[in-house]
Amino acid sequence: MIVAGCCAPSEPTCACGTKDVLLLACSGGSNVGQIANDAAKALDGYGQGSMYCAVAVGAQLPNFINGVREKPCVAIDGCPVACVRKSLENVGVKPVVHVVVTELGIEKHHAFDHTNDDIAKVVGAVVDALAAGQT
Amino acid sequence: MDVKIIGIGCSRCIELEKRVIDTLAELNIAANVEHVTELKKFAALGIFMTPGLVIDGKVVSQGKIPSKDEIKKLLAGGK
Repeated sequence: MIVAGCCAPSEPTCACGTKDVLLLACSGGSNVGQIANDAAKALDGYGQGSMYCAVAVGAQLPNFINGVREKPCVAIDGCPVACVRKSLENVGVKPVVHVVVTELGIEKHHAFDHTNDDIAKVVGAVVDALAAGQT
Repeated sequence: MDVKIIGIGCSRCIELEKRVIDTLAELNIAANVEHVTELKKFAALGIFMTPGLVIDGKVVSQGKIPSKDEIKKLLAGGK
């Protein structure tokens, strides 16, 4: 049986952040999709939120829909197609923060050779948006 | 030697910093110790789980607090 939170988070590695925010990221077949996913992993690893299964929300699995309705969600999309944001909106959820990797000056392509600086750029954008209380 | 402790300032990264400083003192090693707390810098340093430890630009530990014995090995260059 699939239950909400089955992909959820291991124990916080650092007790300084919050696990109340759900992090939903693109993991699509391009560099920007993978950067989005890596940024979400990093934010989870810094204790700034819990990664959550964006694909399960896209598939509209009931338990996962309930999960995103219960906590604030950060959507990290790779490109303007914005599958993650749309997946949330399709189940009536507006993310508290929406970041699009290509809007940060990273060009979309099909090579998976991104750098740590690329990930840092997306992490920074999410942190800034959360601090600014983006809605 | 350049030592960076990575973490935004919770009890775990403060404990790591304390263990590193204590271990450096025990071994009488001179080092520049910096605690990097700005979260936006972590990924660029190669840290994806906190607390992290970077020695001379190399990530040697992340996501845990190494024991003093482990820190001694890390300072000596072995993993």
